[in-house]
Amino acid sequence: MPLENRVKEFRAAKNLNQQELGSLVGASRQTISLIERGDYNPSITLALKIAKVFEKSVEQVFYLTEEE
Amino acid sequence: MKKKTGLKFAFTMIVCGVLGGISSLFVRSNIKDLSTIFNSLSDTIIKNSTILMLIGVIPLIIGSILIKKAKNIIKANADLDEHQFEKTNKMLCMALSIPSVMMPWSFICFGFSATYSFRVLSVHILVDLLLFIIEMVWITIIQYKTVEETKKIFPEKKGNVLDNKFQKEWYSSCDEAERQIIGEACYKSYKTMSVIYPILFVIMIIICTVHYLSPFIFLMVGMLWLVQMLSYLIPSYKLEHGKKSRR
Repeated sequence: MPLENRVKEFRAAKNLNQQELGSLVGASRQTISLIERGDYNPSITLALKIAKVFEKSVEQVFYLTEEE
Repeated sequence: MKKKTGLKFAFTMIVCGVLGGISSLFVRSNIKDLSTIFNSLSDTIIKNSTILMLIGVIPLIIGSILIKKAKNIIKANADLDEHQFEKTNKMLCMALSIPSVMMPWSFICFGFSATYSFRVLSVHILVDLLLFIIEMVWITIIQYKTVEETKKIFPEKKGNVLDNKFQKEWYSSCDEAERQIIGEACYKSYKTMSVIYPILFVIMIIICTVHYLSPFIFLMVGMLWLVQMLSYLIPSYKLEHGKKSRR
């Protein structure tokens, strides 16, 4: 089951750019870009940090989808 | 499943054995022709080492252009948008790849030149030495400038190319995704070389039947193979069973 996320959506809602979000969670801008594109699945630690910045639960930011 | 895999393995072994037999027969029956081909090929490569070194200048020019373009984009835009960021990052990645490839190329070409100068003393070696030095300096400049530009779009990155601890500092400033990319790329490199070394040995053994190859060549290639295996196995063992847990 592929992992999807709403990082881009929540980041826009918080008015943060990729660099700023990266700095807040200790990741590079490239990593945030990879996560948003679905090309990289973050570790639990990073997922928790991202969710904390958005003031959401991890499940609200990252979720599994059924394969077609 | 296991039976199928075993049959596939046995079939591959038989095909390889048949191909090896045919190759040996071909080599033995054309021994004089092949020896002549190897000798003329060696002479051509050695005598044209200067041209080969000059060819190496072309990618260095491309690398310099890429850095210049990336630098202009960074300079013109204080805050890069996503498209500009991806474009600049790709340019810098390509620019950084060029010196990594061109360094072994320059060493190979200068090695050819050194072989030639051993046979015939001439100004040839001096021209090649000059070209080699120029290429090495150029490569270092490209690496330095690429890293400096990369630091502008990745402010968290640390390290100076001219410092001995550069690789360690650069790696420590990489985050989990970048470390995963490095790990996967290193494993692919390991897998590729694990295939290349046995093939190289087979080729060298076949060449040996028609052309003199120094035992040192076998020793050197074998040592490289051993170093590669040990440099993979020792850290793997330490990471898996070592006292320090991986965090």
